[in-house]
Amino acid sequence: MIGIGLRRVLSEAIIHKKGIAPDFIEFAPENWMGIGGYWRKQLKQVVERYPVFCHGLSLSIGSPEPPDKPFLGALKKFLDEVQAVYYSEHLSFSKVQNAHLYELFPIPFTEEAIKHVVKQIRYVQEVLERPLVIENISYYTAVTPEMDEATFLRAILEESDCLLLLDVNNVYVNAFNHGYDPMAFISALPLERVAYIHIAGHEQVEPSLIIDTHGQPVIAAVYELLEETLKLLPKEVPILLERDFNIPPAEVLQGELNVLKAIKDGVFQKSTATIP
Amino acid sequence: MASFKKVQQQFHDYCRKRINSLDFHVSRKDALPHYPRLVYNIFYYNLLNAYPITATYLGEEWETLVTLFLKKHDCHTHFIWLLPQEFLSFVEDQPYYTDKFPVLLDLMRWEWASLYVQIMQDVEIPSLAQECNSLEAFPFVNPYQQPLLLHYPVFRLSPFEAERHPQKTLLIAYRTEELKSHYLQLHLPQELLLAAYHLLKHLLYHNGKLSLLALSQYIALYLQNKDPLPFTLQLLNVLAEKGLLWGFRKD
Repeated sequence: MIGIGLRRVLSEAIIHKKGIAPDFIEFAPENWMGIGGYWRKQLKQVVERYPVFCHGLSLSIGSPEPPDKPFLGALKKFLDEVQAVYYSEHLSFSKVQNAHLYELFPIPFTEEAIKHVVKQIRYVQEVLERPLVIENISYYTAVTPEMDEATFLRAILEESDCLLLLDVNNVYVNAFNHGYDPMAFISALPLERVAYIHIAGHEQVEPSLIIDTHGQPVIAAVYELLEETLKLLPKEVPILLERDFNIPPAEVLQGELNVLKAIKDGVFQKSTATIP
Repeated sequence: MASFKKVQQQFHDYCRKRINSLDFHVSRKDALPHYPRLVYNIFYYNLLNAYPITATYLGEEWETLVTLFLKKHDCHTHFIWLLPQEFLSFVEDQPYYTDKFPVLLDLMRWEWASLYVQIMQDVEIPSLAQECNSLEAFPFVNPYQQPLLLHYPVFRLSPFEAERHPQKTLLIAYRTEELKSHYLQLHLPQELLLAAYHLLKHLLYHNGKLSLLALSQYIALYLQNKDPLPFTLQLLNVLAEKGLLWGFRKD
């Protein structure tokens, strides 16, 4: 299965399969919860036509304070309503003392943070009554690292018994920015926990720095990294194209979806992806 | 927990308030300034999309105001589409700006209402009768509306022109059942605008749960030497003519 992130500008094309025909759709609950009128109707049509994955933005699983309980309650209701196949969130923090900044910040790679985040993930899974799928984020500096990112991520996944949304573009960005081998990083992860994969474009803003913008086409090196990653996976998983800015016509995005499908089919010999 | 918390607090303060007193190790100091830049851009473009005319009206002060908001205001909403509403509440308490730019609050309220009525959460519409036979009937109005009591005609003049032509106006921004956005200007004597505004707000807050009689009793507080019942009925007639009174609760 090859999917795309739902953006309002694409909703008509996606609903009527005009120029673009993904297998599934992902959207951020925070962009649709509590919204009525025209956009609510559009969302309803999307949900009626496609399997839905939800990708959260504001849970801030790595914040020092516990997740916001009223928000979790509303989120659970929403996930049930849209019959979300998966609910994923970022392994990051985006608020401190309940002040949101709407950006993803890296959690310190420390033992203390692992204990804290594992506790938070368990709590969220319990309240939502579903497994949480955690995404590896892109980051531009590590903060007080006591260990490498792969060790940190692996420990959290295993100790909290949650799933992984493997963002291959983020691995590429981080490997470039922090000078490590992306395949070595991916090989070090518990790949049996990968629920699905994210792919996106990015922007190189300095000779030694890439920013994860989701505003550019996917580059060849990221496609190559995806292909190598798929070869390591024990099973086929859905792949999602993220495009949040500089959104081109639907046909152009379909071109990127076609490339993803060709790569996946090349690796899995057109076997069928499994979703729960 | 202290060190973990402290690191995050400092990082957060650095991004939000540009307080550079980080006393912890980062692997790439050179990349650090990108974080406050990214945060600022999120706030800047989100608010610019919601308040394009306000941004033009304030000129260079727009960026200063956004920076102040980011620095001083703890954003509580999980929903970034509600950020403009928090921004509006913040600006309401900024006398420097509201004094310097007399049209500012009217303009922001109008820009936000125009956006908000389109996305207001759908509500369940009760079973309604079209006729009302008694003062005990419970009127139900279009719930997707925002009454605005404006002091300047920002909805029909540029802010700079509106500044020169102050005029108290009661405007309703609303969306129809066909999901289209509209505005309705209520032409009432100036001395009745405030009462009409409060009546509309009260009616919306208790939509379908207050009788005509109770509404008129409430609005009596705002009317001097005027019978509240005819006033209430007159206003509801206007709403009915414009399709904003949807009926009367049956149960």
